[in-house]
Amino acid sequence: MTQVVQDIDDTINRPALVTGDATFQAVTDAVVAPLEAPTPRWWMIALTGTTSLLLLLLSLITYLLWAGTGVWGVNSPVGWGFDIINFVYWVGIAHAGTLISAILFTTRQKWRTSISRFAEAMTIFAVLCALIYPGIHVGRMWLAYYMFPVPNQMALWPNFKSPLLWDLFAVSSYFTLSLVFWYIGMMPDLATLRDRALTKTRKIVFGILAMGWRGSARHWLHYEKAYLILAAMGTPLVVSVSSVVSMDFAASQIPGWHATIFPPYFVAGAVFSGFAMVVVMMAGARKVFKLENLVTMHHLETMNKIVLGMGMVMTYIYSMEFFMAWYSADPYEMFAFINRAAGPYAAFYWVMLFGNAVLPQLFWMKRFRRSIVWMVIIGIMANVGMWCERFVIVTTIHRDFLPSSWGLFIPTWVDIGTFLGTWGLFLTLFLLFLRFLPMINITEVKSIMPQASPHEGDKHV
Amino acid sequence: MKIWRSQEEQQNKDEFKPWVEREFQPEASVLETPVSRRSFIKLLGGTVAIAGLSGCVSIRKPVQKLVPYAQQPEFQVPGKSIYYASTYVDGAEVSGVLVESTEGRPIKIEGNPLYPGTGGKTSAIQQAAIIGLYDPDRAQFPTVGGKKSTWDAFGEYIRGRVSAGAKVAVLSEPQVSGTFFEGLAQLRKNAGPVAYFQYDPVGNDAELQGSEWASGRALNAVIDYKTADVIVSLGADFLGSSDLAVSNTQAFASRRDPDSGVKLNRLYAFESRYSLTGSRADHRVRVDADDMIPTALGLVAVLAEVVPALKAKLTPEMQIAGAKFLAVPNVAKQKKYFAAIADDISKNGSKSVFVVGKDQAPELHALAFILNNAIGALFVSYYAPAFGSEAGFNGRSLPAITELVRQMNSGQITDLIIIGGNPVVTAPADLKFKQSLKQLNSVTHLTQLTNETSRASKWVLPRAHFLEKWGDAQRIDGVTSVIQPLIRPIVDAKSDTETLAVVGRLNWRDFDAVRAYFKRPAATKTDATWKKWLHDGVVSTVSPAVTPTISISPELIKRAKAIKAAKNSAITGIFIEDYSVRDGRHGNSSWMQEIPDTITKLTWDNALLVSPQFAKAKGVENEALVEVKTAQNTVTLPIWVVPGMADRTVGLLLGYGQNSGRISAGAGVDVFPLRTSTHFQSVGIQSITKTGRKYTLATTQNHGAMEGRDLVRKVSESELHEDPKAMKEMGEEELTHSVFNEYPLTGNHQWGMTIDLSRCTGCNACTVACQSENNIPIVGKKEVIRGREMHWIRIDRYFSGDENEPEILDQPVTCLQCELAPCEQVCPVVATTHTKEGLNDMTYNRCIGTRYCANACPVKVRHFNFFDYQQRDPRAEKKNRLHLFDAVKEPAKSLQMQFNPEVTVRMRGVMEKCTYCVQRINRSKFEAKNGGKKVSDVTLQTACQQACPASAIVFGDLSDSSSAVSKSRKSNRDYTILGHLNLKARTRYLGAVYNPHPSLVPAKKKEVA
Repeated sequence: MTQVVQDIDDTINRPALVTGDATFQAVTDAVVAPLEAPTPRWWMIALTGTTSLLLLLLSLITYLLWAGTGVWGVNSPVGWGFDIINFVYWVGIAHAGTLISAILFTTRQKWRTSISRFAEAMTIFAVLCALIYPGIHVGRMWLAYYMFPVPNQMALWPNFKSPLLWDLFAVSSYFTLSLVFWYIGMMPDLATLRDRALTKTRKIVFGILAMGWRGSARHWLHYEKAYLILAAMGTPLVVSVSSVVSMDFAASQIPGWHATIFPPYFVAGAVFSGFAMVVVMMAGARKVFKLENLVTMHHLETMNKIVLGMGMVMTYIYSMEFFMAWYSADPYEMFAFINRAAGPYAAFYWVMLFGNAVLPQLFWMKRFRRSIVWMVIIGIMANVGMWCERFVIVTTIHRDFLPSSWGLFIPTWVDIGTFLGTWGLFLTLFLLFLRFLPMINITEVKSIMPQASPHEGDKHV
Repeated sequence: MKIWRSQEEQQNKDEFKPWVEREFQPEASVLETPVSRRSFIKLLGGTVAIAGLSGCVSIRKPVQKLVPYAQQPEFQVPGKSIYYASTYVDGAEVSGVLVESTEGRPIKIEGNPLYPGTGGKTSAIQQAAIIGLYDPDRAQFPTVGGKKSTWDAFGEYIRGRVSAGAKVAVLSEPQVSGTFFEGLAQLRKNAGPVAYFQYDPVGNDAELQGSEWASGRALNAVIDYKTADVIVSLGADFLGSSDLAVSNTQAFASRRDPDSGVKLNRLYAFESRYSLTGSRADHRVRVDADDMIPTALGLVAVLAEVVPALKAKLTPEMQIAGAKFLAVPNVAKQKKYFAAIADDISKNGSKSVFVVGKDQAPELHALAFILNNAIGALFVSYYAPAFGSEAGFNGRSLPAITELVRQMNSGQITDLIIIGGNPVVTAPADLKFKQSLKQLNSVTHLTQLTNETSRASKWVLPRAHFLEKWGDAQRIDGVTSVIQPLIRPIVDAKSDTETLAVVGRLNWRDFDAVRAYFKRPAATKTDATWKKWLHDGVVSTVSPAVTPTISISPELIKRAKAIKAAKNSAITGIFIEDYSVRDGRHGNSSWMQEIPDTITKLTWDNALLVSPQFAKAKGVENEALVEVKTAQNTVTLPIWVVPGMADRTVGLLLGYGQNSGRISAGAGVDVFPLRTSTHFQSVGIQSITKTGRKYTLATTQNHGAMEGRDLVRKVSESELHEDPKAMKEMGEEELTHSVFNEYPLTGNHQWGMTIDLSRCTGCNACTVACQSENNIPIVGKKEVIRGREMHWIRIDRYFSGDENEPEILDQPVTCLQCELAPCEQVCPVVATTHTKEGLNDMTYNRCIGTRYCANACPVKVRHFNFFDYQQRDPRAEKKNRLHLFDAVKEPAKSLQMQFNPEVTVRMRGVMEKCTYCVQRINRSKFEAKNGGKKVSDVTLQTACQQACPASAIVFGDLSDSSSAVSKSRKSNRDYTILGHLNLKARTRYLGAVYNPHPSLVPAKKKEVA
């Protein structure tokens, strides 16, 4: 089959995925270089910054535990604030990784190889940030284990009708699968690192992590099978996790939440923000680590096309939401949407529309798709827009059925600090990843290089 | 016979011997190795570690000892409440109450159903009286100059002063007790002439003065709202700020319920502020404060045409004034109302009544007296103040305090004993009461809370709460009752009379005095009668009403001539008795500070109430700080815009800015500096200037418009009569069809509640009753601003119609106990579930606080403990011992005594909400089961229902077709809110019905008809 794909590639003249005069050795060297080079100064400075934010996160969680949920701005009617906004936001960011590794793998998109590792790492770190919130957002954190179906003498058993419970399972299984997928995919590379290791520590650590990988045919056979199975399992999870998250809202009767469009809405949004995030991070990393030959402009452009596509889906959904509100003739529903666009949180709504529906349209033009500056701007704005979207959705309850109970959610410094803190966690983990693990899948990249084809050099008739 | 375990044993094989001899098998490690140094150290270490663990006493729950009664008090069954009848007294306000007592602690105040008029109901302030008893800020012991002292020391001191020839005087809050004046008489025997003055900053002065001008006698008018058909109120807030508010509401509401078969009454309210009474009026007429008398005179002129008797009784001066003012535009614009009233009066005649607010001018009261007399109003009774002669000045406050200050300044008084109140703040500003106090030799303040007056006094004596003393009380209309103590004073306090006894070294015990006082009529000497009185709480209902005749004094004629039409540029400030704290006496009541005002929905503060037009003209908005300047003084207040205020009138709410404890400190601004003896009811405002600063106010309802939603439904009686479906069809169709199979509700009882919006006045009594019953914490001003107030039942107040002439629609909202509750299915930990009896239950122990249920709740009646509010209460105390994973602080020890033991005190992180008082339901079910009876909806009442002075709340068993709640469901006013959500709410509403005069019905509505 590889041959067929190769043939097609040649026929339609796809751009090469690895540029420069790359040899296998050069690829390995390029990817491993940041790991083996002495610790760069900028890295230490950056890590200091991010760990400070991480420390902020830890102290604010401690404060929250000590004082109570009231340190946040949540209230009645807005019972969920930054906790759920950021939870959904981080879950969204987490979407690109598994999509790239699972869906694009099962659909044989070869260009995924050089970005998959990077995106998967992002996924795992983002899900970690997301998973903090369900734990700490409850009023009595020390009893959060009541949500797990653990048989106990207290006759406690969770309510399987509750979307929040589905949510817990969806996100944790997504996290588990992403982690396993990431790790298994990394095993041959870890073996490479082990074999190249110069220090004893590296030898031991990578030795353990590589789990005795020797590159035998049997290893490769198992590896390929496992990878395929995990990819197949991951594919529905990509869709399910955000769908389930969306049901937290859709399953209630609140106007603006109670909509059947929510599952695809959240999946599209998540893919949108996830890809935008990968583009932004990748654009930086390839420059810093001189990986332009492995992550080519072609890669970035392809991702930008996906961003544009998802942006179009979002645009469609935004208009469809309004249409349905009008078409339902439900005065509460109609009010909820007018209030989104013209109410006290209108600014967030319009930033959302600008970032998610308007700005990505620039990607119709090749010039913008291939401009690093523009893709970074659009990528950041897409993420700001998506954050605003989560804000707009979650705070929809600020004006629901009874005007008497209307109120506003105003975040406190603890809310904002905790959000910054999760960025600290995310970036800290990312910096550690960049320094200690290969950020590009060496094995897979090699597999799509022309040299990997058994027919390399053959002439076609 | 040998018993063997195996063949080996039976055969006594060698291999088996060790099995029998050894307790543990060889593989087991047993401590039979000889003690080595190593193993000794090991064991020692282990022992010390474990011993050390047991020393971690802080991890254990505190040891609590249960001690049985050495002597079981009569009727006392642990865990079971006993109810005692007593009498609530607050100044001149007297009301019969039943007090629930658990293991010797009074925990809740309810109305006494045997007490006439109130129907066993209470007001919000009466409900909150229980927290006053346990207030940790109460004066704990007598102090002299701020240092701890004793009652004996005070007695010696004051008697020393008396024997040294000091001229002692007593200044008291209004006293309603016969024994008090007996004590005073005895004191005078022992200690010579003790002058007595009585001062009530929010008393009935104007009424007493007005009736004196019109009839020659100082009288209080009491109106029977149950029978009056047409009520014309001239600034009267008889449902809100009145000593008889509870019985007035009870009577008035009974005439607002079309289902009861009675004819609806009609209320015309002329007022300058938006009052609770105005919000219940069929026709509310906005009149500026300074236009009130001209308007009333204009009305009189119109009425004189249809009521011949009136013309005869008016003096020529009044007739001329009336005709003159009818031509003034401000009065002329109300002509349509005058015509409607004239029409109603001519039809109903003596079944009509005119009522004037106690905060109105005496002239207006005189006029109302003449009007009522002329139409022969049947339902007004007049009573002379019961203790007016003892109190002097015919029971009036203003002359009393003026005279007191004069005597203090002239040295006629050298030592003053102040009973209750806070005259340093509340006395008219021009009297400079505080300065006068400084000239005295000694000032003694008998008070529950140390306030500004206490701080200006030498001696501060703790005053007994009414639940701590024996006494008697007489209501304005002659109903007398016993004040029965529920508990010995929890601080070193004495009652008012016992304090007089200390001063005069009298041989006096309140109990004996009360017994003796009531023994006086010969027929009531037996112990059986006394016991019945104690049981019923009521002694006598003999009405000492008088029938006065008109005798107009020259003073009134002089004043009538002097009345001028108001200038259209003048701004008048009116002093408003606050619904929550009155004149400040309830300022330290945490519940009353946090209760949202019926009209403004403000908590914790007062504000300058202005109309929307006024705010626009002045360019100010809500929360803008302004400087209010009068001829006398200046105060700085935040603005609060109240639609429906008269445009040239600003409202000054009394009672704030006083410091009588940790709750009242910092709450609001004191406006008493603007109130002088000449401007006691209202004051001309010279200027209102912006300061450019803002002051954040805490309101519980940010949005006052109903946005065209069908939440509160209101139609006129005739509309409902013409189309019985009018109410049902006002809103969206109710959905009752589920797409899935509903879980069957199979309980023997099916609980339900109906709230009658036609009866409800929005008085807040339900909210405080619920707070008292269910241990609901206060959250404080900052948390109210954040929208985290905890009241399980709240009253939504919507404005509708024109911004300047809005209607107020009130709606109490509590958990609807939906059969298909959106909250239940979203809870991940099954903490909120449905019972078979249709209750939406909360299991606090299971709740982890995801707040998902609150989000899903369509009416937002779930309240989350964002913090441990009991701990954050400013009066919380450090715990005696710390406990791992437990709170550092706890509610003040005395406040803990108020907690209802049948209701969990919720910790932080837990969701809570109305339970339909499930503890009362269960208690009622147990009692019914033990007694072999059915649960009766007479004895089973939720706390809100029990308190509601309007009897707007009906609760009971829906499966019993004879229950009141089942009957209410058949009303043509029955509807549910958000019916389209298929909630199947168990709490439903009866729409409001009003009774407009046909000529005043807006043309639009007529077209529809």
